[in-house]
Amino acid sequence: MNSIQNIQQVLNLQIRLFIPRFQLREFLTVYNTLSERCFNACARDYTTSTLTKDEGSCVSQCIDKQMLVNRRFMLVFAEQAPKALFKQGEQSPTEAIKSAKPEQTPASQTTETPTTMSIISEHGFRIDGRRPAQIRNINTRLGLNRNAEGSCYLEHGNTKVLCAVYGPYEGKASKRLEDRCAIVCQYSTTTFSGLERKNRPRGDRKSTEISRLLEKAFESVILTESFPRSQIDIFCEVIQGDGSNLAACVNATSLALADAGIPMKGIASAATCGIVDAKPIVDLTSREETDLLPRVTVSGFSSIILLLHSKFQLATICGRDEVILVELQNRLHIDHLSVVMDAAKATCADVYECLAVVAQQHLKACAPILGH
Amino acid sequence: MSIEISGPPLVSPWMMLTMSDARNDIDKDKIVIPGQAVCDAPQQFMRGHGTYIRDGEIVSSLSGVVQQLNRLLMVKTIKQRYAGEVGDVVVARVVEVQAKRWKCDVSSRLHANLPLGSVLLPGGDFRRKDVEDEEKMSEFLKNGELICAEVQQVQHDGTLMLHTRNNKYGKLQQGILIKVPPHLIKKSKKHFHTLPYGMAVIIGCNGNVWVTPALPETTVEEDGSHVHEFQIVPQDIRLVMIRVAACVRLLRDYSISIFLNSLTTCYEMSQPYDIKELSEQETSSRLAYLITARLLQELQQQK
Repeated sequence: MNSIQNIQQVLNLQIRLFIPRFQLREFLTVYNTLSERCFNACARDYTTSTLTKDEGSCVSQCIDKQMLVNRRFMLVFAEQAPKALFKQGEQSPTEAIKSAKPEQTPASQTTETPTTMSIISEHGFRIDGRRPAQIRNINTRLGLNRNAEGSCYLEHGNTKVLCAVYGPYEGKASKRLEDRCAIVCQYSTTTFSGLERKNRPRGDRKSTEISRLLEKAFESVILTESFPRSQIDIFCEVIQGDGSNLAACVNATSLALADAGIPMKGIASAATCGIVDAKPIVDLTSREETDLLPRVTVSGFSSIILLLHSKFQLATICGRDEVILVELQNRLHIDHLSVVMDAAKATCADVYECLAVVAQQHLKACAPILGH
Repeated sequence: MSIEISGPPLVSPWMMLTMSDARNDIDKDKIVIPGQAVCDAPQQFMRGHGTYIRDGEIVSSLSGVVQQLNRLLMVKTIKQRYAGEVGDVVVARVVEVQAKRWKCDVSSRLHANLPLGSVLLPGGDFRRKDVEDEEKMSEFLKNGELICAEVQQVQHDGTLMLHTRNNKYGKLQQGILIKVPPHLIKKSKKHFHTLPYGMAVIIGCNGNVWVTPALPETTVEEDGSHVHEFQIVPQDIRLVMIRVAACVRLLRDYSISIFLNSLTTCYEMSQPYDIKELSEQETSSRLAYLITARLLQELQQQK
């Protein structure tokens, strides 16, 4: 009996000693998490030492929000914990806090400022420091996959895509068409490509939709009539998705097709374009695409993906651009449509220039030494 | 398993590419990509293969090199899937046994046909193939077996008709198959080569290279089955075969065209190295550079 009492005493002593330290650690963790989250979410203009107006309001709002969440969480915890620990008849300490809460919450709501973060900062830069009409760096390598007829690795900034083209070959009898070749496309994303880890890399609704879009787009680009009863397989894998995934896939696929020597009307190029405050921004990153960022735009945040192939090389056929695919997400005011289309077309032309140079360089490298 | 991390190669692939002599027959201005205009004055030319007309202008539909024949403009692809021509020697794999014919994969756009009438059967060329032969078809050639054949005919839809009506064609049994892009194979009069190292090689026009101890000699017994006994290949011959296979892969990796001379040159120059060293980037890039230089030198001497 003595020994048991001794142990209890020691335990009590330990708890008394440890609790303050534990609380301090808890507090520090909360504080650090909060400051890091709010910094990541708000601070983005590193050209000045002070916070800009936008950033200041964002930080204060962020902290308010986090504290509210914390408070709410504590309330629920305080309510539920005694229920589990004590008997039900006992009075829980939450009643007092609960009665105080309705007075405070309306007050905090009134103090909340309606200003939010804008996608284009007051200095005219975007989150990653680009101008609104500036595309990200494009980096490519062709002919990586030896087993495929044509393959391409393409980077748009942090969006990284791998594409392989197989065929034309005698495919499945069920897919065979007597007058032209069938195009089968598979779009997949790696499980680690996005912000959240995915369990299904392919086969979900979104991937299937993008696969079909790519198929339809390239059916109008490839001269399918020259390969009756054959099949061309296109595999696109997004290794890292940082916005404009579909556009990157189209660009990678057209390069891979050019590498495979498949007859086409031209090299397709694609671009994503969004509109903020009636101003178009091109080549969106995932942060600009997601709904995480608060927006003030009335029309909502819209993005158009449109592709046109074979931009003119000679000045004589200037303006000849053929749109092969348009995808619109979210809603867009009709007045903004022409603005967005023009911006996207101009971007497609820019992207095409990049792709054309790459394709031509690679072709020269492909030619066999001592071939003729 | 240990992992070896090497530095950058001494001769980068880009150095290979910039060997201007090696590709001097390709005029840079003549390389076109799909959608690019082929000529400046479209009225004076006729459009040929690989081109189409857009707004009264001749535009390429392929990625390749522009070729001109009098007033005809055409585009020849640099890299493409195998498109057969009559007389090509191909190494094919049987994928299906149908009534009166075999379907073969020749890594072409469509499977090739090998009719029962086009194979060598006992009784000579004039023997009629009857129902009994049809029943025995899967005894001659099973699914998944490799054959060596010649393209007899190209049908209007692009299907190839093969034949093996010669002793040198037929089933392939012991050897190594290496697949290379078909544009690297250089067409020549002979595609069967017995090399002076105690082995032989068949360079199929469809990009399949078959490295074998001895060329196939199809002898058919009276009961119709192909006679082939598996032989134990001595170790030195096996090593030679592996080295030749490694050479073919090296030529493929550095897109040097594959024909008898390039293969033997590669083999001779690879002698100072171990076989496994040929797959290392440092050795292979240096070797490829030297081989190209040697081959170019020989070419110039011939001229």
